[in-house]
Amino acid sequence: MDPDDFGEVLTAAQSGTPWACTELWVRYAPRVTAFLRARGSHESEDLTSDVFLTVFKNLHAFCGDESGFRAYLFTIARRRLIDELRRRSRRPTQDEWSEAADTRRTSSAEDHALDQAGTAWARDMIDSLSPDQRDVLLLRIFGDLTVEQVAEVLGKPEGAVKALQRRGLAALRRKGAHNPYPSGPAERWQGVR
Amino acid sequence: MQRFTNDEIDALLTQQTPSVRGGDAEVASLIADLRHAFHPTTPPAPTAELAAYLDPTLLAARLADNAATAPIPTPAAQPSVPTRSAPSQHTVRTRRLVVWLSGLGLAGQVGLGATAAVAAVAGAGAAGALPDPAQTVFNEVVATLVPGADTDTSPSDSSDDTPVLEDSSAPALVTPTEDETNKPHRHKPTPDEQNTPAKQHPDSDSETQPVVRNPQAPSDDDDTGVEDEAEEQAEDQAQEQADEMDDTRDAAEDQADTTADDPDADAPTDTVDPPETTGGDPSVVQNPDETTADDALDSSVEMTAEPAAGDQ
Repeated sequence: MDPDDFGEVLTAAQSGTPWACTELWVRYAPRVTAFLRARGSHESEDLTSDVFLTVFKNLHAFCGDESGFRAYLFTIARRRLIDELRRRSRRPTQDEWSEAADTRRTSSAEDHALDQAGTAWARDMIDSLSPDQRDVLLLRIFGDLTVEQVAEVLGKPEGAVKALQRRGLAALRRKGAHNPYPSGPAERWQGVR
Repeated sequence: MQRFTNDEIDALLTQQTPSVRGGDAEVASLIADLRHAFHPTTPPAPTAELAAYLDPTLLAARLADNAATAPIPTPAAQPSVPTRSAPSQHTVRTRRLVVWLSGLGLAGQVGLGATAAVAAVAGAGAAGALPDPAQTVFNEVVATLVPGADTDTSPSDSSDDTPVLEDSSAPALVTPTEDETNKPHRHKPTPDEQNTPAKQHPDSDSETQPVVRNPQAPSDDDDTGVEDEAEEQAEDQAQEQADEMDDTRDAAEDQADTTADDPDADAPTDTVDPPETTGGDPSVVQNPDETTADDALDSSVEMTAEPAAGDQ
């Protein structure tokens, strides 16, 4: 068995082989967690496990290649996210304190301030977009999905997805011109130019 | 501001950011920030239900591989963990001492140890903490080396530091303890005082009246060398107070005798009677100020109620 061959991994995972399921988990779980986090989930890790549990249970019915599997994965992830957002809107929840989620702890106040500024800026920028624009951009960034796949996940026409991503990037460019927090990546890109 | 082309959008969103035109560097940096901020380097811990589908051995191996090969994420992208605190100053000093000791030669270490041992024995000997034979030898050595030195380091019986006043006539110097200065101290009555009640208001409760302590009287808690003298002085003063009270009591009894002949003084005082004209009864004391029997009784109650049964 070649773990780098997605077809073999998928076939083994469809039969419930643990190593193949582990391979899929290690390879795709961080992307799903990133998408859920950026989209505002408060339970991104538990939700990621929930998504993969659903995938493994229904994987025998899946037919497709690697990009199709990603589209399938993020379709389920987005549905789970919508469920969580609806649940939270109906019933406000209290988040328990966790050491990992406590952003008040850091190794360096200066680094933390800079990184927090960059992260906060990025989150503010994403949150300033409409939900559809957000979905399109985050699915393209973290899911590496094509426009066609995003359209399939969102259930929208490809033209609408293209328009959404164009308007979303334009809005980011307008807002980004007033970035008060020159974060690390920006400096890196300036060095590249 | 130009519109994004489809190629530019694909380049921006698929990590081909450096190839986009310079005017879009802000958007490129934003997307890079998003990747760094939200993308974890390792998958999250699976739930128990999901773990049943996974191979734990392979999972641990893959996580170790990812941790070894993954680029160093920014602190904001990874969970913040408490950093190891800097070593304390005490720890730094201890480390320096150990390094310094280990850097000494053999002779230096032996000499340092011998010096420490001698210093320890000398200190114990000066404190009289050595065993008896060793202490005897130590005393002899000290007496030899230091003429005139008092080598009697045996613990004395009078270990207290309270100075003993030799002049018994002088007032005892009693240092009140903290408890004594903070709370009212009840004076311990002598047998005479127990039989001689102090003069007090009829309505007052003797148990609740704070007793002003004689500042020169010793307390029960005093455990000093002047305790006997202080007690004697306190007894003298208590005797004087008792004598004064006896005088006061005698005066009260005398005055009470003058009012005891008035038959109205024993009349019940619950009801207020109008002033009576005594007519020609010579045994009734006229009240020229028109005071009632109650007033007369009130003026004598304080004095007639004082004598205790023991004094009769």
